[in-house]
Amino acid sequence: MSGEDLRKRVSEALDTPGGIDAPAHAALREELAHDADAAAWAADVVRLDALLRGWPAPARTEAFWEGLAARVEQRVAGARGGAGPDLTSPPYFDDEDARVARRTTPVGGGVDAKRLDLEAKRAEFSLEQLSQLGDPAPRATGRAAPSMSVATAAVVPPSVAAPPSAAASAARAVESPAMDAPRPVVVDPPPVVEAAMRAVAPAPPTGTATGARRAGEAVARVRDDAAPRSRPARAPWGAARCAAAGTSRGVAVRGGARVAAQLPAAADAAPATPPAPPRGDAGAGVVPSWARSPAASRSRRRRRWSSACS
Amino acid sequence: MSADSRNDRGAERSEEAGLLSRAQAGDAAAFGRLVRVHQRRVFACALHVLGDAAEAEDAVQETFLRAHRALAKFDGRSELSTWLYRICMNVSLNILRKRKRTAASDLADPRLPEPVADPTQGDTDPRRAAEATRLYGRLAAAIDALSPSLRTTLILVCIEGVSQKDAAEALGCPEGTIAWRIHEARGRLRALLGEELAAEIAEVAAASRRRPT
Repeated sequence: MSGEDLRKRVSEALDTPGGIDAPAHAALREELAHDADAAAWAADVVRLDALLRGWPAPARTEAFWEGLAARVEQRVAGARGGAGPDLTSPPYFDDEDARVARRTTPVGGGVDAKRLDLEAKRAEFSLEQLSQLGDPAPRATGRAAPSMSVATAAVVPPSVAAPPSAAASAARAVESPAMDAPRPVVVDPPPVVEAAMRAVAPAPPTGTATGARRAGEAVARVRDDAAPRSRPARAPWGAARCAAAGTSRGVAVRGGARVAAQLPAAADAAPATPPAPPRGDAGAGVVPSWARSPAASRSRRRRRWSSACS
Repeated sequence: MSADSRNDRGAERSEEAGLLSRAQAGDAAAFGRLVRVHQRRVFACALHVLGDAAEAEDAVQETFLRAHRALAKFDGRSELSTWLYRICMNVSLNILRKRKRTAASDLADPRLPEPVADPTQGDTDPRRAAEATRLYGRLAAAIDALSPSLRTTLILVCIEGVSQKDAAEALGCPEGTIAWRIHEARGRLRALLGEELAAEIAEVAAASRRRPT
């Protein structure tokens, strides 16, 4: 055993109850008997320890202590607020010994509870365990994504679409109440749209689902614009509506609320129940998308597209 | 530890807990009582770190003022004395950092015992008492030469008698670090005082041989 190891053991023994003379340290004393240098070091340190532990407390009179306590009480009573840094945190040492201590194993390789705790946490968050988790990256499954999520969340930028918030949310709830797809950022219509709605749109009759229906139309139109171009566009349907409303299709897409507000009053009288499928007249546009089956909707669109082109 | 001393310690803790809760509720008299209970050890700690009686008094006042401000944050998981030691060390280290001069360790050092006796040996020989005072003066100078981390740890554990566990709590480091600092400080003090310690040990041994049995 090296001299430094022996000195560390002496230091550890001094910190135990009974010191180096305790029966538990008989083997250490035996080793010291065969090492003159270590024995001299141990004798000096034992004496040093006795001097430190026997350092007499500062002798002060009772009047001194009472005066000191009175000054403390006076300062506490006169103190205002909590100015100054918090001194209840552990002191920070920036000297070389503190830096070395932070890098050094405890004396004798002692087990430290905090270190064990840190090591346990290190194991808990190890890269090895993380690698055993499932792959977090999305994978192609071949299944189509929900149309609502594609149309509203991925394609339509909120800053461009600006759907009417409350009505659109209600329409979405009616169309797909259990949908878990991420919701788009809902942007309230600008005040001018709100004002136009209040000024132009008549109050809906009781028992109608005007707001939800209008919002549903706007969402359906946005979905149509976002659909692949291989599908026939709904130009006649939208063009007829826009012509009736006296506005352009672009404005209709960008501000569904404004278009809905400018629809003829007859559309507001639609019943809350889904109306019958349209038959090619101008009022076909009032049928919301959720009231039609996909196949029927496609065939109707094809018919209207061909008739409009002709 | 005897049963009586355990009972006394339990009664002290119970009384201190009552005073603490009253002080936390705003009872100035209860806080004053806590000041009177703990001010001696806080003063001794500050005096050993600073080596100046006036600065130590200021440190005591600042320590209790800071403790009073933060009293609501003390949750009782550690001893109140440990918490006060921590604040005292912070206050004393702040004073040391602001201090322009270096306190000289001489016979006027307030940390040194009166040269009337050797407190570690219990005899009343005036010559031995003078030697002990001189030795403590050298020891105080050697402690001042230590780095702040070693010095504060040595003062808390070896002079004030704080356990290594409580010292770790007060200084915010693992017990292993406390043990390392103590070992390191002992080695450095021994290197600084080695010859004087050896001479002092020889003198003590000679005195014990001369002492009538």
